[in-house]
Amino acid sequence: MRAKISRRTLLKGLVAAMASTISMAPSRKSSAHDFQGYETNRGVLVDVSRCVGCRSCEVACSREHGLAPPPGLVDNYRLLDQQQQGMRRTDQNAFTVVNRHESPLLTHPLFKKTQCNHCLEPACLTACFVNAYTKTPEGAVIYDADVCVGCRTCMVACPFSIPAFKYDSALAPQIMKCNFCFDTRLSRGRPPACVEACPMEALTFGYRNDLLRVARKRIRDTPGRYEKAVYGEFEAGGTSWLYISPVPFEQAGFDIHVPRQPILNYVKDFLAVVPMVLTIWPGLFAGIYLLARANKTHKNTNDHEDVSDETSER
Amino acid sequence: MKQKISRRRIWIILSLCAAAAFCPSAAGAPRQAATKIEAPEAVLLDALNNIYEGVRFDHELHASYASCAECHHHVAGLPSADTACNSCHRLGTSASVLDCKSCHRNDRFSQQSLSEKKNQTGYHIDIIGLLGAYHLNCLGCHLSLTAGPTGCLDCHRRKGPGPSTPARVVGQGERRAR
Repeated sequence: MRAKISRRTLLKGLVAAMASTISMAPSRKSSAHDFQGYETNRGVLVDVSRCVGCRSCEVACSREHGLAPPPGLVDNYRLLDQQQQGMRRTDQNAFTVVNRHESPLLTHPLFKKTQCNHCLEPACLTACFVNAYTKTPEGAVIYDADVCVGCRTCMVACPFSIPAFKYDSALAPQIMKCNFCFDTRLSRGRPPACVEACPMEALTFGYRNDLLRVARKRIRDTPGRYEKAVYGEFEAGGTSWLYISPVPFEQAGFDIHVPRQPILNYVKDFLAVVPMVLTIWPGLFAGIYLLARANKTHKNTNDHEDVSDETSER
Repeated sequence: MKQKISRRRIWIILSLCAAAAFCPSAAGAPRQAATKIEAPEAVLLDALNNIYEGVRFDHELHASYASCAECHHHVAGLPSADTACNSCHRLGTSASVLDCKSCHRNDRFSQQSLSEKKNQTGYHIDIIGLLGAYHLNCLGCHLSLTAGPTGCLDCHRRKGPGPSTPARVVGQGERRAR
């Protein structure tokens, strides 16, 4: 007699399969949980209190990458004045922008430089399904236009809204974003162009771990001058660019709602299930289908036997 | 009438005496330290000699405004104005060379500078470069006292042809306007 699978055993198998899927997911998650970044991860410490809004960093950046010169440099006083606070964003012609912010706690304006923060666990990299992004051991998050398919998921994924798209290029559209001057400078141990250009040394280049110590030292040495926190130490799971500010971060144009864990963590559970689904489900459903078909043919031929089996089981 | 005038004179003489007694003692300490190390009358700041004319820094004038320890930290043989220095250099140390560029390096990104920086410990992990030292110290004081030059071109005078401003310090203008 042919071995038959009853509904009960089938259900048992289903439950077992689902249980294994669920139980294996957390084990995957924990394996990549506590990534603290590369030891060799370079970074930049931005001291917001030192910046005077001269926009030398913007000029240096545009020269370094052959971009259009920043607008309104001759009368950038008026440009910064006219624009609403925090309005300028990084775009295809500017990998970095400086915005003016007013704080009720200060009598003078604050200037905040914005660029890619080069996260330790970048959301853009996680979101990219063709692996166009790379996190180098030096800390830079770089992008390969040759691989990119132009889906722009990275633009949605970035918690800091940094990647921009070269919409006006019909033949070679691509993502445009700060690359930490990786090709020209960082890979040779040199600081990015903006850091070298800053006349106030508001930007300090070094290893991320060292910069955290420097930031804490500045906060400790000059009581009352800085907020007692380093923006970027934990934001989005930690970023290579770190900031210290004399006023609460939201008053200096920072997004304080950026989660403290990597964006990857939000999808890790789901993503861990995907390979299970891809491997187990085809076999499972094929089995169910075959069973159902076998039962059906079986029913047609041995209808009487089936009924007797059912009753005997009970 | 005569008595009144004489009383006023006494007051004037008294106040002059008080001024004479207090002022030299207040200014005495830094002056003494300054003479000990033979403070220069003026310093020519020419780190950007290849692009800009040098800037004549009137050392004597600035020494009359601020104590030595305010700019020279702990190396002028006095306790530093920056209290962070004093936890180690309680009485100050007198170095043989006191110019800014001997500690605040002009080549802050050279391999030598970077490796030196890596070996620093304690409070010396955050020694800024010469560029930042000049700009932060000079501009910070000039802006807070509303005295002295604060514009780019006040110090940076281009030697040959080329863009005149190294950086368009517009924010400074804004700060100054307030």
